Amino acid sequence: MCLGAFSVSIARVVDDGLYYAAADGRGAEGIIGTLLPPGAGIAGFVAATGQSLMVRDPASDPRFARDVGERVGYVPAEMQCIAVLDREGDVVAVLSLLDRASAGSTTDSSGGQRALEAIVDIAATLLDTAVVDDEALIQRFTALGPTEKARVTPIVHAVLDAFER
Amino acid sequence: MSEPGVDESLDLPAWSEAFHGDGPGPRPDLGLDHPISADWAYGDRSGSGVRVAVVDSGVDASHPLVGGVADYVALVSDPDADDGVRLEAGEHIDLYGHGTACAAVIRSLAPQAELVSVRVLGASLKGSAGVFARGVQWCLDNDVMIANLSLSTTNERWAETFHHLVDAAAFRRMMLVSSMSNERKRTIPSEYAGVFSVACGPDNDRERIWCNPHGPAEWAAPGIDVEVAWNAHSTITATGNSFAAPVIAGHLARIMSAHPDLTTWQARTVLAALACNT
Repeated sequence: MCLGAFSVSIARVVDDGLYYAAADGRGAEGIIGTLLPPGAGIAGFVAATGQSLMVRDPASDPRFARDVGERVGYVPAEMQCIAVLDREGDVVAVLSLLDRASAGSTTDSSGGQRALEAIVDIAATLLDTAVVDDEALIQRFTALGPTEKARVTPIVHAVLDAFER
Repeated sequence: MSEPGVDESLDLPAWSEAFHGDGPGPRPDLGLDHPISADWAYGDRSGSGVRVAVVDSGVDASHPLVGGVADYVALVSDPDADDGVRLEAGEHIDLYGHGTACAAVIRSLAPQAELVSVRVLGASLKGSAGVFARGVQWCLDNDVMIANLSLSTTNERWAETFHHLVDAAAFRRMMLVSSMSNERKRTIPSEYAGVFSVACGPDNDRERIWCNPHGPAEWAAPGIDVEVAWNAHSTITATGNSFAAPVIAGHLARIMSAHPDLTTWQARTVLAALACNT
């Protein structure tokens, strides 16, 4: 469990949709490598708009259940999707967190929110292949407190593995 | 990221904090002997005669909570077009459900408003800020009185373009209702003073709105765990400033139906008088 959620994934914006490059937690193995076509699902909306969204019972969107939930064998009760932006403000990826509330994050949501903001920044740096700044990345990570660092570490490792860095 | 007096245990869309906890303080008050009343401001509460655009992912007119769409235009990124954007007339679908959600919220408050679907979010996941700006321009050119923008851009390249659009809208009596981003980041055009910028208020009664004269989120309305229309005639329970903005658009539609000659500044004053924070 990381970032106070049962499952975390990062999908990159590619020419033909959203490619799930990294994941950690429940259903992770099933989601990595999935390509969602443009226009699909809640994560697709976030990718298209840069507007994050939190949805309870996302299975009530029929396309979510068909395209994602059934594929990973896990349909969450809650889904939060956050846009990861590059330096110009364009969306390069979508961070999805499943079942944050069920995982207990609401009891410590301020720390969870800080960790969330950190991972979004770190993911943005990792994904911005044109201007990867290792020094800034390390500074951002080391500035976190021990609890936040513990939360962020699994997904950072997953992203690093995904991009072979 | 936190602000003085804000309860950090709340997990809210960004900019909504000002309306929770101790709240934004009292609404602006004209101190009139006979204050503006809801009955005077809203008239028959129908929204009749007011053209309201939903600049979004399209609108499913057949959704039972939408109740029809009067006009459609879809804007598509096209490098071969004069300004990089191609306009497509005729009915279209909602690719995501988000525009349908916003349209249904407006319809719930202003049942006779003339809804216009201005689709700026298509299948392409890249280059949407320019299409978004062109969609707002289309509204200016096509007699839209209220445009709901439950989306924003962080892209600095488009800041000046939107600045000009917001100014043009103010002087042409077109009201731009713009949701704040759900994270603390640039949120264009919702951070501009000329729009009706919206975040989430603390309850789910769409008749209750809040006014924060200190901004940058000037208005608040229900948007936390709200049931909204979605694709395939479904509903979902969702959270986001996106769903609060159309509440403000619906209230404005009622006001403009009852008082069609108001300027944007006058409408702002009337709306503030109806806010529930006293």
